[in-house]
Amino acid sequence: VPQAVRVVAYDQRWPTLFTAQASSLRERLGDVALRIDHIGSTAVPGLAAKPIIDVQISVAAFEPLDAFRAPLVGLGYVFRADNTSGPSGTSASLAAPAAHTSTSAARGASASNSPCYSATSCAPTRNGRSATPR
Amino acid sequence: MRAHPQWAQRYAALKLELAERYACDRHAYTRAKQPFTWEVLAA
Repeated sequence: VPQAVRVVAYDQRWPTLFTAQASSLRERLGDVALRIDHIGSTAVPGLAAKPIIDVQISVAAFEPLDAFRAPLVGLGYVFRADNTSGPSGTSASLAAPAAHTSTSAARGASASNSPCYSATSCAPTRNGRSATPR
Repeated sequence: MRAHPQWAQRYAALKLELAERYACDRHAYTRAKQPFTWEVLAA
């Protein structure tokens, strides 16, 4: 199924959506998350973007995967395999319920994730890992 | 991008154009954005 591309005008609610999501993530992940950052186009005020809130979670180590995968799955995220934006083994990807989310971990040092609040998004549910450049 | 609104403006215009051109092909859309992304990173 081809994925539609929908770019919308900047939405003032995006930072708030991130903050709300980050609270849930922090609550579930605790100290496992060294940082939780709003990244990507929706983090740039005024920038038109696909309505997907990209979130990057930094972790101290990429293994064991379940240290962060399990809490994220608990929040409704789905681990996916099609994040091929970087060298393999440096990040993991998860997709969220309302839409999709990707979580990636930089080489033993960070993980990132991206909830998508778009109603029209298509969320693959396969497993895998790759890297998300900062 | 946050620090350089002029880049953001250009990027927004490019994204809207590409979103129209590649409305049904997200991968093509993403690929088409890359030259601009690299240009910004190199600036």
